[in-house]
Amino acid sequence: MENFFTRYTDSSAVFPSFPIVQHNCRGSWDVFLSLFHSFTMLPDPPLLVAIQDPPSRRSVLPSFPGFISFAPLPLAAHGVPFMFHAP
Amino acid sequence: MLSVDVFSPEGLFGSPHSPLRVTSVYLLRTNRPPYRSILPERVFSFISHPHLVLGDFNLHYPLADPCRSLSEREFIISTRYFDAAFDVPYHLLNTPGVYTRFPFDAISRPSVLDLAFANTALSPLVSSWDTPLPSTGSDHVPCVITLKTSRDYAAPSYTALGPP
Repeated sequence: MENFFTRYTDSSAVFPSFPIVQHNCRGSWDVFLSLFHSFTMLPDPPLLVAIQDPPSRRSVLPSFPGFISFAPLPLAAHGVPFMFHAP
Repeated sequence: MLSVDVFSPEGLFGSPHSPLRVTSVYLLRTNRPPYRSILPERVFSFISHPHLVLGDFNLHYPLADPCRSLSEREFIISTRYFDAAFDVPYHLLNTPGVYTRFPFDAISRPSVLDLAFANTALSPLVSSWDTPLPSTGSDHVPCVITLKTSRDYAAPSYTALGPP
């Protein structure tokens, strides 16, 4: 997890659309993981995921392969981190 | 409340409007006006380039949930936020009546608490708003907003703006 920053994506991948997902995870790790695993059901993976009330442990956000998360540090209770697809 | 600016060297939408700003909010209930944790004027402000505001608003409003019977208090609280959105203007992307929260208890009704708004610059670029994903175990369902792009584009870059 990183604090405020500019992320320049270095990838040759191209995308035909821009899907964005929003979800309240209720502070649950199970919900968080279910959400990211469910993306396989979408025609295109979301490039940006907006999460409300993420699970956290010692103010560290969970991670998921293929995504990078960012939010203000330390992560506030009921925070609203973003995770973006990093192919 | 957190915002990111998304930009691509080619332009995401083949238009001079760049970048795309996405703002995520989670409005918590409070005991003092406006009875939610973020003022409506902070959530909705004029931006000339495309702006998407989305999140768990914890608000009930007839436009989003036409079949719901609202209390006067619910209506007064939500109207302040929707008026702030419409004044700028921002447009509600939700399909009216499509529930985004299914409470676990047997007393509460399903509701539309997860909302997405697009400003005038973004509205023509919105392809769809939908809830196509299965339950994740949360009492909320994931919402998917798809934006139209004019062509295939390279992976975008992001600047996190943080809370105002």
